[in-house]
Amino acid sequence: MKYPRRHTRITYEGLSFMSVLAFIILGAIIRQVNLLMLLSGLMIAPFFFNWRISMKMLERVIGVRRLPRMIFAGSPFTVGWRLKNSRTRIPSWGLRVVDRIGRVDAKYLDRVTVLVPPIAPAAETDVGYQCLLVKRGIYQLGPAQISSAFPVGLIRSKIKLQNVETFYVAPAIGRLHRSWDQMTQSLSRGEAKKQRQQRSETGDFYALRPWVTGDNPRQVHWRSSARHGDLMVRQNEQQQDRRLVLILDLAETSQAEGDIEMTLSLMATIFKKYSVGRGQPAVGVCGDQQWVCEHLNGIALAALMEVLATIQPAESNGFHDAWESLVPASARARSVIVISTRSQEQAFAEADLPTFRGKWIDVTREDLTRYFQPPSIKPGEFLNQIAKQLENDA
Amino acid sequence: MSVERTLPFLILATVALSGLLLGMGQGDFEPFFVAVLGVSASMILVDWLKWFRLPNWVANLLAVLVTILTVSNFYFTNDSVRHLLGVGKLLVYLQTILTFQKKSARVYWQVMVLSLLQIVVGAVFNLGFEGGVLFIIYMMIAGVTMMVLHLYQDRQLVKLQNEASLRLSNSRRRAPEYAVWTISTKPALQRGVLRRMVVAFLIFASGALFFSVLLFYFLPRDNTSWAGPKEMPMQATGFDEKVSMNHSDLILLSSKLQMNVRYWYSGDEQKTFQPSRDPYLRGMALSNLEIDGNRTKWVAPPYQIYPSDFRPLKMEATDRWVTQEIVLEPTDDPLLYTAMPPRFTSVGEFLTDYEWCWPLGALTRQRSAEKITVSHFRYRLKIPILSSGEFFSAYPYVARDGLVCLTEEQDPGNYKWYTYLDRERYPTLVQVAGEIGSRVTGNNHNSIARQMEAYFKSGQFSYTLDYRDIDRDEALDSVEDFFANHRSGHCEYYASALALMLRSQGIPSRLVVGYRGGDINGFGGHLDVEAQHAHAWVEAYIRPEDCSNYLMQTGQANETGAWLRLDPTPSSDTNDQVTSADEALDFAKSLWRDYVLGLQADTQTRIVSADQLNLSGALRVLDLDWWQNSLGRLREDLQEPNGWKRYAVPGFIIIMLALGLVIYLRERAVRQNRRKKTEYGSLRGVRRGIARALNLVSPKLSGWVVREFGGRADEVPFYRQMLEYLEQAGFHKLPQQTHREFAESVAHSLPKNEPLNRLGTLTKTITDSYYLVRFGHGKLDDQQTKTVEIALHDLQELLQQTANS
Repeated sequence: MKYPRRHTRITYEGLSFMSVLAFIILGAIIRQVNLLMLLSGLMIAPFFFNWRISMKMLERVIGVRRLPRMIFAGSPFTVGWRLKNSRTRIPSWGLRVVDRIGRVDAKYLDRVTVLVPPIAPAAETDVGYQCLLVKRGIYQLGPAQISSAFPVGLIRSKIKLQNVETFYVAPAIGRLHRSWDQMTQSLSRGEAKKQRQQRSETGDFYALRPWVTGDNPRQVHWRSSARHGDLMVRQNEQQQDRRLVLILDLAETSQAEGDIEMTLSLMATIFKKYSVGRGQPAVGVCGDQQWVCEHLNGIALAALMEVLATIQPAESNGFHDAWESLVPASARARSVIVISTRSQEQAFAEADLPTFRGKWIDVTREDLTRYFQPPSIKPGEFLNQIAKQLENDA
Repeated sequence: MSVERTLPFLILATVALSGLLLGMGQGDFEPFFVAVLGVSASMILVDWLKWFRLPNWVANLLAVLVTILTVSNFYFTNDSVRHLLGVGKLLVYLQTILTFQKKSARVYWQVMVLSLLQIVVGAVFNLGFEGGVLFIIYMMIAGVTMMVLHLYQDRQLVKLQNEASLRLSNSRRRAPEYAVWTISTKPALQRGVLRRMVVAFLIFASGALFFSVLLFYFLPRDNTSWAGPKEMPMQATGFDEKVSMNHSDLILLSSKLQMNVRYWYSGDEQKTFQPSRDPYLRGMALSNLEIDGNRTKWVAPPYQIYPSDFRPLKMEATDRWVTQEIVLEPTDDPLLYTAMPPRFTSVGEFLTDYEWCWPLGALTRQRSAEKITVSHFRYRLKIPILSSGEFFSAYPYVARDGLVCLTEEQDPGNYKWYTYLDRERYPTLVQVAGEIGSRVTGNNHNSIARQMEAYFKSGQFSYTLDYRDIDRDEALDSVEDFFANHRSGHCEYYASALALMLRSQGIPSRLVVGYRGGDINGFGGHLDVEAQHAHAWVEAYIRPEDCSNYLMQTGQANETGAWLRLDPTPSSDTNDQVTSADEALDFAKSLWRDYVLGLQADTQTRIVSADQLNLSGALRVLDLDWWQNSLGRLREDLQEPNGWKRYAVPGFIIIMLALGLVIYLRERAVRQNRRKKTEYGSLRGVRRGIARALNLVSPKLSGWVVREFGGRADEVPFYRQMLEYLEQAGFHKLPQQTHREFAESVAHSLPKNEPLNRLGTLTKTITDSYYLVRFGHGKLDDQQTKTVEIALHDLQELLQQTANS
């Protein structure tokens, strides 16, 4: 197993210590002051041992960073570090992990220091730091380094880890209002009613069942009723394809600039909600990237969030293709919700598509807060909460 | 106890110790009190009560002001000692000012540095043994403080980082893009880990001590070790010691150490000489009798001493002698002590340091020096001894004017002076002396003197230092009262009475002050001479005709007579209980004095010589002469035709070289094996052995065997090639990463722009093929092989382009 190379450097304390030491050695040798010679010896020794011990502390030590699968803006997450001391006899003391974090295109990355408690021989320990990112996008972690200046902090040894990781931060998650559910339910009910009307006579026979109040008398199967001695009705096969179709249409318009982030936040909130339920919606995302999915499940959600992390409006955003793919002519009756940065007419005119009877939400005209409460991202509050919690724990 | 709570107390201890050491060095304990009070007050007012703290600018301003005030004083005096005292105080003041600031790791560290500098100043003043013990304790506490400070620094770093993050997050000026909070994990110290930590600290401390001692004894020195900057004027250019018989009620014994005395047979320092009787360490003779009211006084006669009386001692060849080494405790008294009669040793450097005054028989430091360094003073003399292992009880009389005797005929002036006596003042004493003298036939002064001495030891007199219960006659002279009435007294009374008795019989005599005996130190084999060993005795002049043959033959007398030592004081009842702890302490003090503070080139050479510490082997490496001699001897041995060394030496060299080669190859193999462990792991039995053996000779050949016969996963050539390319570009596969994870980490390690996206694609392509070979146990078809080759080529080019750009 190959371990990273160890480096050393003298700390600020080490430099000042060295200056005093040089002064003492000079005085001791020039004036033959025995006590100063003894003192210089006693001062050189910690320096030397600090170097050796700090190097030893990093010998056969490995560290791995751990990140959650999905990260949302405004939601705190933990960047974990698992450190393993592979030595079999000597524990590791005074280790410190210095990680770097920032946007992937940032010029400078901020440092985050994490202290590592002593690690027993052949054992591992978990440490980490909490993080809250305000904006969606691609971020970078690393390169990190593990260092130790144990025991007296005059010399610091470190190993540099080439574990640069980029990760996507999805738009912040808000809270959907009941109005959203009502809207989707009404959309589904209306569709279902229509389907029922259409299917009442045309649906395929499925089974016979006893008559209940409210059943259409036309559905009574008289022959079977006569045989059973009770009214029996025909049960036709239900139409299963009542899934929602969600389409995000990010067209480049001047009016929508300020609403993009909120739109994305709403979409992320919606996608997250539906990805865990039974009815997996069909999803289409149109912008400078296009992404279409027939069934939004947990796996697809991760990929979708990566798209949402970086997507930007585009002039030709592939709305036509997404529409054709998700709402084919045979299934035009699906419950379709389009959240767009332009009007329905404009979209359909540009895409040369027929009108539909779903819900078109034009973010430039409609107030999105009607459907959901956007997240309030306040890092200060988050940190205050942690600090308060730590105080309470203490 | 948490680090935050422990650290201030450790800092306080460090500051107090450094202040104490500075105070001990300077002889002024003001810095100690200022440091302790200042730091304690800052802990209470600033850290606990949080009443106030100095803003940085105020602290800096104060520091500048104090510095200017101190430094400006330097211009008014050229005294380096005062400069050093000023620097010491300045350090304490700066340290105190610092502690009134808000505490941070940086502030604590600055306090530590200032404390260390105080130790430096204290060390310049030379610390005694007690200071040395404190010095070691200080270093231990400072070491622990540094460790705790380091922990504190780490914790502060995280705390400050969190606070900064919090501050930034609450800032309204700049909206932060992210907030970070480090989770502080409290160290859950397992018992085993804690034990190992303590053991590690002890090893660390022992190692540090061993290293520093080694360095201390190997640093080059000359023969003048630093004795401290302090000097004091020599007490007197003449002698004003006196003995006055006053009426003190009680004389207390003082155990203050005056000197260490060690004897060894000359030429062999390891062969300690133990005198069979307590040695008399002569200080000076008080020959001038004075009367002060009812008191008899003996004083040195400065008007009788001429500069020409001070002469260096001559070396004289004697058959039997010992070396006497005396180390005086720091004193401003120029007087030195010795057993009689002294001769200088051949150690040349001492000759200029002291001289001998013949009329007084007193040894003094060089009188041309006006100041004495406040430090220990060491001197060595040769002392002749008798065959019985005793020191001389008499020594030859040497007159200032050549070969004359101290008789009324030959030297009437001195004779009158040495026999001066007011007979009316001491009637009983003179009467008893006359009676003793009349009993001796032939007026033999030697016999009279010895009988008089014996008179005091006949049981009629008792030794005491406590006069509270003794009824004394204030109307009489104190010596006459002692002799005629109470007959209880201490050595000065006995010596005075005897000297007066001798003078009454026309025998020149004088009172001598010095030390008798001392406590034998079982550890160091030397005598610890304390103030309580101070003694007075008598020297009587014996005419040559009265000197016995024994005195003449042993060199205790010569043709001009001799000074005979007479000690009339009976032994005291005081039984000094010297414990081994006292001895150990005294021994430790002498070690500190000789081997730490006063270590110089000759002592150093002695210590590191073969006979002492058997370190000669290490030192000889630096000695070119030794090399030359050894090689010369070796050459001679090799040229000897029938010598066994002729074959043994080359054989030994060859064996050693072969052994070295084997060790080297083995080390190399182990190192490479470690690297290629995975390779050998894929081989079995004989193949593994062959590969390892080949590795000793040619790693490439060994690699070929592994590749051809191994088939280990990691050795899929194209994957290994990819790893090499990536490693050159700085991408290292971590042991815990799977191959796919590594490929992903490479793909994600850089921004997703066009060329670097290709990096991910290429890595993924090769890794997929690797999986096919490694885990699918399949072989790549021609198309796949071609794809991998192209991918490898592209990867190499891409990485080169990236590196160049």
